[in-house]
Amino acid sequence: MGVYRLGLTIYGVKVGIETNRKFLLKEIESEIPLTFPVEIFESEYEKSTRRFSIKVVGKEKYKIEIDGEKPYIVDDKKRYLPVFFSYMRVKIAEYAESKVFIHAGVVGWKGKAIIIPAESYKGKSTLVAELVKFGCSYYSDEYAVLDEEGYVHPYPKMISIRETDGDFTQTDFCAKQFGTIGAEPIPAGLVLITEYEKDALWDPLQISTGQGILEILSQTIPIRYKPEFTLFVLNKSLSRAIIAKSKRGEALHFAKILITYFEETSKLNFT
Amino acid sequence: MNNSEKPVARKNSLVVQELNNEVLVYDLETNKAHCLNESAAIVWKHCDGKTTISDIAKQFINKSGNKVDDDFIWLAIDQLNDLNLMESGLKPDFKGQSRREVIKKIGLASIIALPIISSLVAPQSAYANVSCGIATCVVGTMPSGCPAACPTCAGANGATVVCTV
Repeated sequence: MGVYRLGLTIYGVKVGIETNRKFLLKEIESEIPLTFPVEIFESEYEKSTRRFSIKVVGKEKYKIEIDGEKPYIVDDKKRYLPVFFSYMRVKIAEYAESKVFIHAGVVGWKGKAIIIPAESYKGKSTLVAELVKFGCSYYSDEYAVLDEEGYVHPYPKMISIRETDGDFTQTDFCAKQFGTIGAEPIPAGLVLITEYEKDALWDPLQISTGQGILEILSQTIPIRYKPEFTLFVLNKSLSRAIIAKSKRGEALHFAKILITYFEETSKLNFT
Repeated sequence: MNNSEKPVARKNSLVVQELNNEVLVYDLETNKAHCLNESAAIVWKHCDGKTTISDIAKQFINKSGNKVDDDFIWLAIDQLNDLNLMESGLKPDFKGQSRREVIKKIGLASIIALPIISSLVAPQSAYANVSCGIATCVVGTMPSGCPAACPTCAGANGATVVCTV
């Protein structure tokens, strides 16, 4: 028993983590580089502006508190860390300095980013994995991280693919087993507004920058916290890109269809 | 309806982002985002409290090169009013016609796009779309209809995650 603390700076956010067990802090420390695949700096807990706490409160019961908000109890010893990091990622995505996080899968193709905004359980990671197998470079299966110039940065955490049998079991895969990992910030080339539907026909409609921004706003994490900066960055990024909207079929077949569409439409739009 | 009225666009508590041919407006009071197409954007920009409806129509023609009448301008203002993007609640009177009838009439006569504004409410919290796929999970709630083993807000995967307050 006791108080164990850690201070870190992640994406410019000063993070303080507190636990009541040493083993919990060690687990968190070893998991952080996998959860946040960026440069992380040590900082003082006392100076942190975002506070995260996870404490053992009973037999296999873990209490998670974020920024003094309503606490959560997790009663599964295998799941407390994923739940803790799930909330932590969202919080950092919201408050990240000079970045806009969009809930999206991202791959790179010939120096341009293909951004696929979508909420969880919409097949984003499966499609990203298929695109990487097809030859795209992996950027992220969770967030498109945009800088002030609208460039997309890599966020290459493990690719988390859920089983489709309804129990939401998630398996993490190293992206390297599918293909290459993107290293450099790249401009957006294609923003794909899509949703999987069995036997759906790919019938893309190109939409305007403004309509595209509206479409992805529900996936844009910091929109309420910093709307002015967020809209500025979205405009910078999306005004350079093709924005297409259509339902899609199985990821396996769709990867080739998408890349063909991107190449052909880029020629028409930018030559 | 008075075409000598001088409408005033709302400026307070709005974030405005100019796009290529559109304008995005984010309402800080309601957390709603609006996308004004080119026609709606031209009208909104000219609602400066000094320019009459008829003069806005003339300026619209100058700017776009397309002929429009006062009803076209009122159609834009009517929508802007509904979305609380105007200072004063001007009420157009389309001479007994419904908005739909006016849209049809103007649409047939115009070669320029009708003024259209699309809107969306920004997600309630950063967590709003970190969803279990069954229902949208918001911090502090267990969505109705979720099974006991709902993987609330991504990552729980079978653990019961409940709010203690």
